[in-house]
Amino acid sequence: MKFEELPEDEQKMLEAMWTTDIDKWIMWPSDDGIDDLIYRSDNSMLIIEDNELARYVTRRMRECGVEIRNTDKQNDTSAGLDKSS
Amino acid sequence: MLKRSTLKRSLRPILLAVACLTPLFATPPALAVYDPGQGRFLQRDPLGYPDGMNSYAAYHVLRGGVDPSGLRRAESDGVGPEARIAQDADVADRQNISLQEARRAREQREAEIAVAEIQRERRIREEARANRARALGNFASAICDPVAETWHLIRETPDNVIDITVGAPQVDGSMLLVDEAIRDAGHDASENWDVAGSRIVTLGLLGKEPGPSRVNVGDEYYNRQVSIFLMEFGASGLLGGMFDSVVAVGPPSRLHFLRQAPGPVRARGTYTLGELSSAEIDRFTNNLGQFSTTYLGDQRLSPADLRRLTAITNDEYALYYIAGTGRKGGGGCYFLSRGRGSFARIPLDNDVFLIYHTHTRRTLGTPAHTNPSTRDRRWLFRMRKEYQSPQRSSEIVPQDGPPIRFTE
Repeated sequence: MKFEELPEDEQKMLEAMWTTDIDKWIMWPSDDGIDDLIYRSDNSMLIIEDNELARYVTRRMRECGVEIRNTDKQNDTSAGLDKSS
Repeated sequence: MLKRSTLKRSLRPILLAVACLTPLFATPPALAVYDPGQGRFLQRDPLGYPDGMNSYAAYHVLRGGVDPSGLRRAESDGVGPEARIAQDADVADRQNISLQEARRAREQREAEIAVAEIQRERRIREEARANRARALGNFASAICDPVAETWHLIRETPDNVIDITVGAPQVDGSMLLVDEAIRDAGHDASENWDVAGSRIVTLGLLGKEPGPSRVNVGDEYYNRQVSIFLMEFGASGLLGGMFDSVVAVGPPSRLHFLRQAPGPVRARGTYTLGELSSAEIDRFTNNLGQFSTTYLGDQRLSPADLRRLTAITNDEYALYYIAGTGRKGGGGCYFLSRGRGSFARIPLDNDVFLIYHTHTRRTLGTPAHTNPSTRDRRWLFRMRKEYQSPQRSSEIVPQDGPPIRFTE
């Protein structure tokens, strides 16, 4: 599923993630090529059911500089911080 | 003939001895059973009110101590029955009055002291009540957190700023404002409140980090250091009407709810299609925005309920359980998370259990929407790897057919 195929309100909702709300999210690298997006305030994981869409969203988040965190040690929040460009 | 005063003096040792022995034989030994759980005695203090107006208080022994006679302190500080009789005798001697008159005078003094003590305690209570009313008067609502022993004070400022402050009640009833924990200057009442008659909003917070915190309507905040406030306001508007429900959720170690949402709490697992009332459906579909979470308490929605909600809104819904402190996670509560047509947001934590979530018809395309997605499995993987969660499987509720169990 392509991003453009989504209803307009869903597009806006996702778009807000990398435009206005980028600081609210953390990205956990994943070994399957689609990084996990975690909402900071409640530590919830965004589950995008469609892989193509998920890949697009994570790419945009990376491009907009979402904080990338290594989760090998979940409690060590300072470890593995890598600000993506 | 002996003078009367001489007779009195000569009889005094005998009278004193009789008076001293009388309580030992006339009344059974006072037994004071101390209850360490309650931190007080189960019987009244046999001495009356030597330490204040609470005659059940742990008046002279440490917690867990014993005092079979109930008289130990009195004996040690010289105001026990024997000492009092000796004092009465001394007063009678000095004032040249009878022992009985001295005793009556002493009892009257003690009664006056007791009355003064009652009045003093009443005055303190009234002052405390007045102080508390003064402290709370500026707030629209105040909720006492019985576990943390703090008060969450909520008020609305003239510029529509919602303020939640943590207050610690003091001994005198006044409120020590600990921290201005929340300030939601971004809230737009006109935009968010005039649309629906009733709406749930999360005010969030009490986070450990001070400073302003933006709160989004219909959003959920849950983490280890943050308390949640879910508030449902009446039709009369923001903070102007009644709070229909106010819920606070603390860290799992002290998960508690200050006031649960009104309405009957139904037993688990009893839901069938159509059992949700129209008001509930309205609440879960119209009044909640996407990416919102509803606190359900004991209410465990059935797969059919979720399927119905999904059919109405074409959004994904997820039912998850946050374990309580009871055996096998008992005492926890259910939450309903609403996502969008092709995505949902589900918390990650070792006490979170994703019961099931729905897929919309267009989630993965028909009929593939019945399959778990890579991200669904990924959630289980994260839970196991990062949070040592015991959960190994969950269920997808498709729009057609029965729930489908999936694993990592």
